[in-house]
Amino acid sequence: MTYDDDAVLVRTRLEDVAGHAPGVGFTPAEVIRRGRRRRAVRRGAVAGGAVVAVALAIGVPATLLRTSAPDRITTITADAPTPTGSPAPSSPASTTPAGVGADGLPVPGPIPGVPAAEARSIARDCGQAYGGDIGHVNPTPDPGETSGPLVRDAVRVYNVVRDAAGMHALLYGPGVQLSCDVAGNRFSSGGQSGDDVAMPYLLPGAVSIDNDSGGATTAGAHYAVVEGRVAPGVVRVDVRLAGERILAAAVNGTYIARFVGATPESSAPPSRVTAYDAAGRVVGTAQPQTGCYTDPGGRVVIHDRAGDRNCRPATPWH
Amino acid sequence: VTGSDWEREFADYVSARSRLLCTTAYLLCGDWHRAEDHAQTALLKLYLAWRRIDRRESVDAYARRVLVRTVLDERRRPWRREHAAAELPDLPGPPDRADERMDLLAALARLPGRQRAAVVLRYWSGLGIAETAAILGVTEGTVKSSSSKGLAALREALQDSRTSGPAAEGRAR
Repeated sequence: MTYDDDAVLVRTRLEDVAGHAPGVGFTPAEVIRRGRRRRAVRRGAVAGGAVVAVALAIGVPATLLRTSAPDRITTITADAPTPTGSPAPSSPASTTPAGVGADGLPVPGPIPGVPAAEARSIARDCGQAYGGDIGHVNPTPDPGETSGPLVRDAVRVYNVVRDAAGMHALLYGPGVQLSCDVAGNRFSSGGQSGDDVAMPYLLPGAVSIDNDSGGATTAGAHYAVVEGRVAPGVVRVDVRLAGERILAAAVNGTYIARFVGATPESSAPPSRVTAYDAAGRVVGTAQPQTGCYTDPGGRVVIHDRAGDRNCRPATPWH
Repeated sequence: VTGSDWEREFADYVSARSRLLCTTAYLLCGDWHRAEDHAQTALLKLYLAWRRIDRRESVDAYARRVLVRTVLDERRRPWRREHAAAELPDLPGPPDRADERMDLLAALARLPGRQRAAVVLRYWSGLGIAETAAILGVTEGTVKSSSSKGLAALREALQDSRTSGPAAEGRAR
């Protein structure tokens, strides 16, 4: 068969499938109602994010920003059972961000084993692989109407792991989080942009799970990855997944735990993440999508799948 | 919902295009329920951007780009925990060719994301190489090679299914 024959065959089959697809189950009015709610939440969240960003830019310590949310880390600790064991002394040293950028996000400092030039190159290529623009979460006067910079120009690498499955990088920018697999000069990025108004300015307590997923590399190695951000003071994170455990050092306010060899079947139970401070004390735990949190203006910006009740104030990332 | 002129214009657009977007997403992800979710996500983003899209002729391109991005992002994470696992499509319609349609969806699902998107955009949406390249954020050469590889893989898969797939089993019965 020729290329044209193939094209005709495939077009015919595609049209057959499309012609037998079910009816659309939503209405324009439903989309508009959701859009109106999103615009309202977004404006509030951006205002909250801007408050955090401005406060950090003028040097207000994070502890002062937390005065509206007393002892949130303590509260979370009290609610959470303390896991057995403590961080291994041999796990890698943690690093902290180098400061706060104009966008209100921490400026990543050195990443162990990754020269600065390589980190910039990874950011560009992973951002390019993701594509698109950042859009509306930037603190602009009318965030719903303004497109943002391209993702590739706005994201920075915060953490990198190298293991048997290759290299994995964790990136953030205003309103965007990327998880990027690197194999030679091939980059595969997934992530979230635009939908989470708190991302990445605010945390649900002391530690977040921004990505809890898995897949296979181009070489066929299966893996699971659990990664996210931590509050200032967290130096180590203990991630447990289906009997496996990784102690990850906090690097630039983030952590990555990649379980090479894990498959959907072997890692079915939800991951559990515990954050430790420098003294080895548990300062917070996290499980995917549990609990709801508010921005400094009191608006719910991190939702609980089971419903938003008794929400707590979110924690500024840095 | 009663709203401003631009919201009524947006509602008209949704009425006219929601099925097209859902179907495109369906071909890309193979599950109608998830396809509807993807289409709604794309339309929600379109709603938020509606007043800054100046030229009406670019609305379709914007919606397609957002939709394809949404679907491919999910496909990069085949077992992301907050999403339900993929289910076999439950298609209505006459039983005589339902298996063939399932064969096609299964064959599409086995293609790498970019190849699948290139095939669907070019041969279902009827887009040219340049427009497909713009939506996928790749070069025209990549679109050509992805389309070609995708077509070849589909041909092979569909030929195989004629002899060993569900459709063939159905015919044998």
